Amino acid sequence: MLKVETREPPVRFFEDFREGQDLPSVTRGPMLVGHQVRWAGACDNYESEFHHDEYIAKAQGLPGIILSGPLMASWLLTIVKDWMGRDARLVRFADQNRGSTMPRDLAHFHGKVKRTYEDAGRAYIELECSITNQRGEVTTPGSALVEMPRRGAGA
Amino acid sequence: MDLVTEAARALVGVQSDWVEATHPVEASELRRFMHAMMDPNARHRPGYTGPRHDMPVAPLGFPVHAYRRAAADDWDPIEGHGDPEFDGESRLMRPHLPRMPVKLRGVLNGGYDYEFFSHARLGERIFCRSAYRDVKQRQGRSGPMVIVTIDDEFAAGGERRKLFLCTTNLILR
Repeated sequence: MLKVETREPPVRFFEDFREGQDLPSVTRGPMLVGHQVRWAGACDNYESEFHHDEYIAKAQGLPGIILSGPLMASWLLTIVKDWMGRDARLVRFADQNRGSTMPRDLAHFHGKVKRTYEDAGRAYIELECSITNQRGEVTTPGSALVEMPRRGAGA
Repeated sequence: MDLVTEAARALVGVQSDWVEATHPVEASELRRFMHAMMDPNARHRPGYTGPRHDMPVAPLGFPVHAYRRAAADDWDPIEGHGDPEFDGESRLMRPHLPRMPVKLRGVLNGGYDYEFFSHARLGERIFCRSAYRDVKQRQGRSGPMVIVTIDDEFAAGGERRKLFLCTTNLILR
């Protein structure tokens, strides 16, 4: 039986991070067509058939089925939120669909603290984040800006 | 070969009206979205109340994907593949923008920039308006390509139009 844990991430504070800090990498996969089908169902969007039909994908010049870029980016965004904790506020997030993720690929999610700073009494962290596959190719580079709670500042 | 015609350039700056998503945020949609994203956060689950939200809220990126086929829509969008004018980008996600006339068949999503302001809440109505920001031609590895840049705003209903998020999306043709 598939057990799905549902939880909120623990609270993390601005003071828990430093510039240059690597965040704990996460690996998902092997990716499956089922992941793509589940995403298509969640978005009610089946228009881009190369995401689930290999014949059409190859006819369009692709190497085969590729998983949706917004799916991979959404996973990256979810992991960024988990890294930064329950009370962090995601201000900005950007992703580029630079390379393809195909069925049976692994997806390694990486993050690094690029900058920590304060502005107008608020504390912010800039992150570099990315997805790489099992060949070390960066498929989805990204970045994020997160407003963080301060330790001892109260709710 | 110039793939960006005057007709395409004329669409830069064109902004749509606000268009409402097919229906308000539903619990079953949140469930499917959570499962697809493997998002374990309890704040998206039915019955949730917490210190920051007094009811379940949608994942931050949810409004981008909230534009679904209406029950009365009897046109199968997959039929569009037989249409040489099919652009693949304006059916579900941005039915409110005029077609960008580019004579290339492929459509790939190049990525998003998001700026987040608030979560959409369970039962809340979502509105979107979109604008073409730019269209340009580039030489890709496999031939010429056209990059279309689209700005979207997603907001709640009502006079105040509380913003959920703004996005900039690159569509590669």
